[in-house]
Amino acid sequence: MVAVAERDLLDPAHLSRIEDFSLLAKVVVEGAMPGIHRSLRQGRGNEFFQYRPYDPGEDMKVVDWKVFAKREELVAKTFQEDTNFNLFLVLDTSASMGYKGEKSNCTKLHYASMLAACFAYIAFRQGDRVGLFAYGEEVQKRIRPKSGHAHFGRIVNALGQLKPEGINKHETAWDQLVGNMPGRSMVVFLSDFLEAEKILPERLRFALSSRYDALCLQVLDREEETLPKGDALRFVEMEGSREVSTSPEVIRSEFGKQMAEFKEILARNLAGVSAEFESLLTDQDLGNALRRFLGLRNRNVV
Amino acid sequence: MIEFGQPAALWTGLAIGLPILAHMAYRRITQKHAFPSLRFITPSQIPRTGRKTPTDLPLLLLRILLFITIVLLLADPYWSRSAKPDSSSFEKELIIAIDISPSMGGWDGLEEAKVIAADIISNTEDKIGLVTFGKKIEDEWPVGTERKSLLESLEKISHGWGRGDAQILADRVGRLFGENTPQKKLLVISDFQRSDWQSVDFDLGNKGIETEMIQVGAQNKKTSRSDNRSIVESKVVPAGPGKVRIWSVVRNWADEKKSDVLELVIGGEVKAKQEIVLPAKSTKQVQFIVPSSEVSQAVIKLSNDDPMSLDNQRTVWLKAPPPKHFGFWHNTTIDEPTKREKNFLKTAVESAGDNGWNRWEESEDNANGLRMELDDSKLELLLVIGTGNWFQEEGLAPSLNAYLESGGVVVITPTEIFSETASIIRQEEWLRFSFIRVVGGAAFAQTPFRIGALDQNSCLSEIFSGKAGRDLYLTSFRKFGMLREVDDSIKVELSDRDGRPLALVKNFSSGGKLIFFPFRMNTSWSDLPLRTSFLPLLMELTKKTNQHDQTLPVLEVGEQLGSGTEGFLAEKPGVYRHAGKWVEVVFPIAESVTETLSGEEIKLRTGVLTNNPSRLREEPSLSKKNDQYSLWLWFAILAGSLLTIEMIWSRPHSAMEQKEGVSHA
Repeated sequence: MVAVAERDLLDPAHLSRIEDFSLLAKVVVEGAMPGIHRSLRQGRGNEFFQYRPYDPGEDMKVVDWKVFAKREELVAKTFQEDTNFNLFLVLDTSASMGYKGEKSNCTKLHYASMLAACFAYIAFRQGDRVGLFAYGEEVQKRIRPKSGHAHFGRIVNALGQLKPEGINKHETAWDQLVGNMPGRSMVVFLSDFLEAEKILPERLRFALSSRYDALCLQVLDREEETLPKGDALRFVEMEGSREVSTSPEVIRSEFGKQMAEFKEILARNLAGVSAEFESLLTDQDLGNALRRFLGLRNRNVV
Repeated sequence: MIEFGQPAALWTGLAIGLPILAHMAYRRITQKHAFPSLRFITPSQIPRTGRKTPTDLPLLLLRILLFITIVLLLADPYWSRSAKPDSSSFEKELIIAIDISPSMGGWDGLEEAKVIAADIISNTEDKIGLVTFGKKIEDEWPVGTERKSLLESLEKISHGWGRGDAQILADRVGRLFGENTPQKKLLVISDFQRSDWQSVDFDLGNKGIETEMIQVGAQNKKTSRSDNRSIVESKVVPAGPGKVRIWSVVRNWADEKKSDVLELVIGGEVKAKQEIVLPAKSTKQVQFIVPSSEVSQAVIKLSNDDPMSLDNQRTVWLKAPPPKHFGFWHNTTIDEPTKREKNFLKTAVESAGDNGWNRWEESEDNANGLRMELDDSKLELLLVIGTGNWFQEEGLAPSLNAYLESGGVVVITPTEIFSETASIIRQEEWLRFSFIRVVGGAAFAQTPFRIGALDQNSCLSEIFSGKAGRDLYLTSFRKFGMLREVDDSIKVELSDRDGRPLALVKNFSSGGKLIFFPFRMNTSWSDLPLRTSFLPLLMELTKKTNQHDQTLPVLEVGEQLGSGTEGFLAEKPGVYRHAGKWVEVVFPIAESVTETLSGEEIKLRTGVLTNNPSRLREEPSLSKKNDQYSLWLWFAILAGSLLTIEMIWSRPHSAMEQKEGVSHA
């Protein structure tokens, strides 16, 4: 039963109904994958975390004297300590991310946004600083990495406002991003990486540096691997005006081969620049991606 | 019932099979499907499937209905009230009024009008009448005249020559319709030349007459309405002995410079030519000087044709009319005072003419012939000077009486012995008066006698009014015969300041006139012959009331010379002889005007709309039109609606809505 419940909580079919990304992240992280994240470091951070009983012998500076005045009880304030670790969430919001197959429950962008919200929540709970960079034809959202609950709220709020539009311009966006990248960062890049297997690895070369880690999560609809059903369709490019009339039945097998080859080349090229790669489908649960994320994050725990 | 203007278009109904076939053997049309990347999407053969039964039956029915509607639309459907001719339609009356003013003879106006009128006559079922108008109503064919007769008459219609007056038609046309006719229609076909139509009030709505105007003779491919050259004036005047000057004015009505050749044709031969260049919208004077010849008429004409050729020619009268003759009777042995008197009078009468055809010439032969009572001796004026015993000795009284009875004008002056003259006049009973004595004769150095103020009824009062009379009143008389008890039948036109007669005039019932001056026309009696007043005084007194002018009258077509049945009505340009004199009839220059009323002006001035003739030719039957109601618009609306429904029904489904198996023919 536990396994079933956990799977339900990670199923995009259910999660896509939750409009509040903050709640969605809590449900996934706290409900479906309890304990997957490391506990917070408590220390002399700036942000209040909680009260705890005062342990005799501790520095008296930690005592909250206002509480003592009210209750005559020694209570110590604990603060969330920053990890000095930056998580940079990079989302592709081009028009192709708006695709939703016939049997899919959400668009690729929505799926990517759900994942990003979960990553942001985990980072928030671990005291990491989280930044957001979303772009399509132009930069849609740019939020500098910060920590704290309010900042987490800003991140999920921004995720909820993203819209799939425009033609993807990876080069321009990444040139802007890399120039402003803070030190010791982990970059999680959510995109469909369509037609980007050559140009993108060039832009991700920074990941070769020991200061950066890159996790590239490719989000695809299942129809992008298998083609939609139908005797004949007139395909219209979402990021252009080209049209091709064809029979999916006729080209399906050839198409599948070429897509597999594309993903293989993409994975190889990304590996060449030390970037981790995972391909996801929008009808898959979020667990796999979360585990991949935590695996990489934990490697960087100091 | 529904009828069709283009029934042949119904054959296109065979195309109704097309949508059925399309639905029977449709092919699946690919739908649009938005996809992230077409990188690995390659074109391929589209599989086809066929059906033996029509699919989407409601859509098929809709499309068949749409096809039927379009086919009917192409066939120009209209609703006809009745297949049989409606008996009430014969109660409609149509009068076609054709303008035949001379301007319609140019610019192809009349020809165009005939075609339109024939078209209407042949195709309408109304009772039709025909009217032609120009300066007056020229011809009328009453309403109900047979079509065949109308068409034959129409062929024979030619343009008139008199200046057009459309108001004549407006005044007349109301009486041409039947009194109880429910529907009256007047169709006016004209060129609407500005000079003929500018002051016309043509609103016949208050008489229950529907009016329609059709403009013809407008600018077209063949003719330009602005193009016209015309001879606007021609005159012949003497130019020295044995020569005449023919003087013409040519006008160019066009907006551009034109050149032409003016020809002088005498006796059928071109005697002279002059090339002329006419600036835009201006006139030029041209003259020919030719010797007087035996031929009496000449034709001036422009050799180059233009759209309005009627005004390109002018006929003029070349020969001078005979001069007016005057003569003297006096004693055979003429004395010095009589000689001087004769010279004064001769000079005065000869100079009474002008430089033109109006001349006076002394004719001694005629005077002598009259003396001998010859019938062919004609004089306009007889001056009997120094009338004394010689007159009685020669027995001239019967001749003079006969001359007066034939309407002659006689001037009598006394002899030195006044009583002789007074005795003769009294004896012959020409004038009744009492001779008293010659006043002033014995007192030469005394104050001369002056002319008294002219009576208002005097024939001289008008020409000697104001400053013109100053010279007359300064005239001094040294002596004159004092007369009294002048008979009432005698008119005293001139008298001295004491009221004593100085000029007695008697008019005879025959038209003859006798003028008696009680003084001699020489300086020993009066200085009157030396004064400028002498000539007008003499000619005014001798002028007959019905004296005809020797000048050549020039009439415009339509004008009348004289009155009653003896008058001359100018009907066509040319030179004519009437009542012993020549009359020149000229083309009405107003008809040469190229400007016509615009459509808006016609509407403004006549209160009715103008129609395009070509449109009317396309719709020849006026009455038919009234009985038929075109359904074209309704079918067009229906077709448009069905097409819209079809497009909505068969619209391509959006990518999100597309379902497998949705097909479109």
